Amino acid sequence: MIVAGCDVGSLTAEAVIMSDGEILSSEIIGVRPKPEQSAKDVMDKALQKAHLALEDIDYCISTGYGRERIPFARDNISEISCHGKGAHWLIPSVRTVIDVGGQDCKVIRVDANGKLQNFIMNDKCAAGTGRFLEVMAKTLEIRLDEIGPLSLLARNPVVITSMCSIYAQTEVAASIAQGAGRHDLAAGITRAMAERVNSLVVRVGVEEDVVITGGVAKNTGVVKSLEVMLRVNTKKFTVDPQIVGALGGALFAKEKFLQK
Amino acid sequence: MKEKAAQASFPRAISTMLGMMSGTQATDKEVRGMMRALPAMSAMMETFMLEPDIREVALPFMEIQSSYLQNLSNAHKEGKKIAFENFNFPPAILYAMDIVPLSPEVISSLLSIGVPKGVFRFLDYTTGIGIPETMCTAQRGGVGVILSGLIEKPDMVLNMASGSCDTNSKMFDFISEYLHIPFCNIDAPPYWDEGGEMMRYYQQEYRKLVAFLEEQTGNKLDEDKLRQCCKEAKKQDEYVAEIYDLRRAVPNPVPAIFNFMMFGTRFMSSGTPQATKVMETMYEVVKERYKKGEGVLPREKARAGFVYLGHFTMGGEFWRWLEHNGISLIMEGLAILGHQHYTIDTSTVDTMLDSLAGQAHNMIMTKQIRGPLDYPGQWFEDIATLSKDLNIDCAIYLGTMGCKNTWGGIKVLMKMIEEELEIPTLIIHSDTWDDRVTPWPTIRDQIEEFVNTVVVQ
Amino acid sequence: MELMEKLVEPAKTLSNPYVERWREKGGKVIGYTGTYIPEEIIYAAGILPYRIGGREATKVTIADMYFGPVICNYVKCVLENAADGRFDFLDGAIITYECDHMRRIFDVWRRAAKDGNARLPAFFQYYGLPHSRSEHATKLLMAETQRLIKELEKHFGVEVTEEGLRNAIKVYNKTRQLLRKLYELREKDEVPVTGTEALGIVVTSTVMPKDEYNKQLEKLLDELGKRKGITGRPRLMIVGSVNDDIELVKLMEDLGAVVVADSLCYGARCFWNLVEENGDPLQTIVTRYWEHIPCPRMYGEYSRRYSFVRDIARSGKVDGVILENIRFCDLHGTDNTLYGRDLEAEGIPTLRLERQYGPLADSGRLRTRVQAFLERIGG
Repeated sequence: MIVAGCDVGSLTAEAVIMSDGEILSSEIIGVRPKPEQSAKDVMDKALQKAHLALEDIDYCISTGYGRERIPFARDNISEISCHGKGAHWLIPSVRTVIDVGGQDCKVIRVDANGKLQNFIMNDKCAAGTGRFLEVMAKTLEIRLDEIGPLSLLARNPVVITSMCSIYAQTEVAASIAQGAGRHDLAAGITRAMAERVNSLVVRVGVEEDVVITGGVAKNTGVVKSLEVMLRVNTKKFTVDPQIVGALGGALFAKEKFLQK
Repeated sequence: MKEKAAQASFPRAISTMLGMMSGTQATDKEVRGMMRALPAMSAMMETFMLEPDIREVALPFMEIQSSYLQNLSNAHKEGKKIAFENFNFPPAILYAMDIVPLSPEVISSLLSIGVPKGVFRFLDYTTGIGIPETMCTAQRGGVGVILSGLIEKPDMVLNMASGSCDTNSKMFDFISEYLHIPFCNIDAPPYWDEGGEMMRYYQQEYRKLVAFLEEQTGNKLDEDKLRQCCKEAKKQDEYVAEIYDLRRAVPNPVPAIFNFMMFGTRFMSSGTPQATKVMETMYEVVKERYKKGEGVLPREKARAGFVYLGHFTMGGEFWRWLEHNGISLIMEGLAILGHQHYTIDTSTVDTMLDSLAGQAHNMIMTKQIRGPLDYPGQWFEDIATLSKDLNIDCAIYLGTMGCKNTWGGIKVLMKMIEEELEIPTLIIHSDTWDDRVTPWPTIRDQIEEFVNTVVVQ
Repeated sequence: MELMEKLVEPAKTLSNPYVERWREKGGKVIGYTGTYIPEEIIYAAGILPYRIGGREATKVTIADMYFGPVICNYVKCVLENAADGRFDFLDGAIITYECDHMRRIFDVWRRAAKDGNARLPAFFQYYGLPHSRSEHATKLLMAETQRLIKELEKHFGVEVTEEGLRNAIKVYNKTRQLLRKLYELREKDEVPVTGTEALGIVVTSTVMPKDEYNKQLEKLLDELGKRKGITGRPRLMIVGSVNDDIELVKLMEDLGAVVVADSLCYGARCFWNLVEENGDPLQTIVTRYWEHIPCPRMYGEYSRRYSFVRDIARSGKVDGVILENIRFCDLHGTDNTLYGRDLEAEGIPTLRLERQYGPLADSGRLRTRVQAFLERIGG
C-alpha cells in the first residue's frame, strides 16, 4: 500500500509519499498560479524521487488552502488536522503544535492518538506571522535569517509593542535613532513576535510536549522567546517542518484506505 | 505577571513613586525600579509639576491617586468590599458606605499616562483570556491588571454604563460571570429629561443600587456619612460650575491639564474632602488667572472642543502639547460637568439619594449618548450649548476603536456641527488608551495641520 | 419540494411576491429591527410588519460614508439596502435600541435621506428599550409602547383595538407554535429538514403576512412528517450574532454537517416564547417581548441565556456548537467566550467563529475552521 499527502498552501506546496509506515519521498516547491498546477508539479517531483507513477498511489489526501481543487486527491482534510497528525507521528509525545507560517499562525491541540482536540487560527493579521519578521528584517537592513542569531546576543532587548507591522517599523526606527544596537532590536522583534503568538496560544492552552513548526520555526530567537513565555522546552523535528501537513495527509490517506 | 510581581504590588509601586516625589523613603530595589520608570516620571513632572499654578492643583490630585490605589491595597485587609464600577459614576455613595471603588478605566488611564508602554501588555492579556480585542481599551487595560493578579480582585460589579454604552456594560457583565461575583445593573433610560419620568426611572434604579450595596456589605446606609459625602459633592459641584463660567473668558484661564484633574477627581473620589480640596485649589488658581487676565497661552490659535475624549499617552503629553501649540482645550468631553440639571439637597436620605442619582444621571456619556443624536439633552444639544457658551471654534473627535456607539454616530454629528454651528470639524482614527493603533505623534500632526490650515483663518 | 421552496425563497431577497401582493391590494408595510418590537401591534393596525434585514447588499460604500470603521457589517448592509432603494416599499420603519450599532441606524438613515442618499419611510420611529428588568422598567416600556401606538394610529389613521390585539395574539402564537413544531422535528435522530431550509423558513416568517404563512407552514409540516430524514452526519447548533443569510448555514452543511438547533434571533429566540392569551392583551404582549429569551443586550442575564443554549444543545443531541459573532459584535463576541467555557466544561465541543457579514463574507476562512471542527468532533 502506497499513500500520499499533498499540501497546497498560499506560498509553498508539499507532497509526501509513504509506504509501510515510512516516508518514501517528500518535496517542497513554491506555488504556481493555480493550485492544481502546484499540486501536480510537487507530486510529480515526489513521485520521481520515489521512482513511482501516480497510478501507484492507492490513496491521496489533499490539504491546505487549495485542497478542494486537487483532482488526483480522493478526499481533503483541513491543514489543521493534518498538521496535528503529522507532528504527532513524528514525535508521539507531542500534544501542542504551534505553526507559525509566512502568512498565518495556528495553534493545534492533539490527543494521545494525534487526533485534533482544539485549535485556533489567525489568518487575518500579519502580527504573529512570518510577514512581521520580513518587514522588520527590511527595516533593520539585515537578512531574515540573521534576526534569530543576533537576538540571542542581546543584553537589553528593546520593547516593541506595536501590533501593526507598519507602526512597529516606526517604533524600531525610533529606537535606532535613540542608539539601540542591532542585537537589542533583533531581540525586541523576536520577543514581540513571540508575544503575538503567545496570546494566541493561551486561548487554547498548552500541554506538553510542544513543537513549533512552520517557516518561523527556523528562527532561533523567536523559538527561544516563546519557550521562555510558555515555560516549556519545545521539541524539534528531525525532518523539514514544512512537510508536516502533507505527512499528516498521507497518514490520513492510509487510515482511509484501510477503512475501505 | 505571576506571584513575584503581585508581591511587588503595583499600587504600592505607584504610591512609592508618588511618595518619593514628595520626599519619603524608598528601598534600593524600589529606587532601581523607579529608575526604569524615570522617562515617564520626567514627562509627568513636566506636565504636572513644572508650572507653579499647575503644581498647586496637582499635589492634592496626586494624593487622591495615591489614596485610590492604597485603598484598594488595604481594602480586604480592613474588611471592606471592593466594587468594580465604571469611571463615569461619581463614587460618593460608595464612600458613604465604606465600599472601595475600583474602576478599570482609572487603572487603564494611570497606566497609559504613568508607565512607558504600560497598558499594552494588559490589553493583550485580556485578548488571551478570550475578551474580544474589539472591546474598549478603557476597560481592557484595567481588567488585564486585575485579572493578572496585580490588584485585589473585586467583590461585586456595579454597571452604570447600561443605556449609554454596550461595550462597557458587556465587560462588566462578563467580569461578574467570569469571577462569579454579584452583579447590579443601573440602567439609564433610553431618553433623557430634567427631573421628569426618565430621571425618576433612574432614581428608582439608584434605589436598587443602594439596596444591593446594603445586602453586599451587610450594613445599612448611614445617614450622617451620606450627608457628609453629599455636602462635599455639593461643594465640588459649585467649584465645577464656577470654573465652567470662567472658561468663557478670552483668553481661557483654565489650563488643559485641569480638565484631566477635574474629571479624574470626580471619577475617583467625588464626595470626599480630598476631592473638595482639589476643586477648591483649582478654582482659586483659575480665578486668580482670570482676574489677572492671564490666559494659559500668550495667544490662542484655537479654542478647541474635543467632543468626546482626549488622548492618554505617557506623561500626559496630550494636554501639555495642546497648550504649547496655542490650542486652548475649552471643552474636553469627559469634563463636561458644568451644566448640572440637578441639585444636591441634603435634607433627608431620600432627597440625598435622589440628588446623587441626579448627578449620576447627568454624567457625561450617560447623559449625552444614550439616545438619538438630536434628541433633547443629547450629544448635539450639549455640544451646541457649550460651543456657543464658550466660543468654541472647532470640534475634534478622538475616541477609542472599541466605541461602537460614538463611531456609529460621529460622522452624522460632525455634519450637524458643521452645518448648524458653522465650525470646522476633524475626526481622527485613534485609540485614547492604545497608542499602538495610531501613535501620538501621528495624532498630534493631524491636529496641528487641522488647526493651522482649517481653523486659523 | 414546491411547498418548501415557497417558504424558503422569500428568505433570499428583501421584497418578495407576498409583500408585493399585499401592497398591490393597498396594504401598508412597516419595517422593524430586532426581536423586541411587538409585531402584534402593527398587525392589529392592519399593517404588515416586516423585519428589516441586511441580505442582498453587495457593497457598503454608502454606509461607510456615514458609519465609522468599527460598526457591524449587518447594520451597514441594512443602511446600504436603504440607500440602494431596496426598502422603498416601506411605509414606515421602527428602529429599536437593541444594540449600539443598530440604534444608530435611526440617526444615520435620517441623515442619509437628508443628503439625498436614501429614501426615508414617511413614518419613522425610535423605540427605546430599557436594559434590565424591573417593575419600573416594565412601566417605562409600556409607556413607550403606548406612545408608539399613538403615533401609529395618528399617522396611518387607524385604530389599535383590544379586540384587534387579541386576534393578533392568536395569529402570532399560532406561528410560534408551528415553528416550535418545526424545531421539534429537527431534534429527531433522522432530521427531515436541513438547517439551511429551517433558517429560510424562519426568515420568511418575518417578511410574509402571518395568516398566509401559517397556512403554508402547516401544510409543510405535514409533508415533513413523512419526509425521510438525514442521519450519519455531525449535528451542529449555531449560537451568536444575527444572521438572515442562509448561505452561512449552507456553508456548514456543505461540509458534511447538519444544523439541527440554534439560539439565534433569526431562529429560536424570535419565536420560542408565546404571548399569554389571558389578561390585558397590550400588557401580555409587551411582557412577552420584554421577557423573551434575551439578546445579550440584556445585562445580568447570562445564566438565562446559557440555560437555554445548554438545554437546546442537549435536546437536539448536538455534537458541537458553533459560537459565531460578526466582527465588532461585542455583545455576542463576549458572551461566546463564556458559552465556550461553560459548554466545553459540560463536554460539549465548541468552535469560535468571528466572521464578516454580507459582501465581505470570508467563506474560505470559515470553511477551513468548520471543516477542522467537524474533523475534531467526528469519529
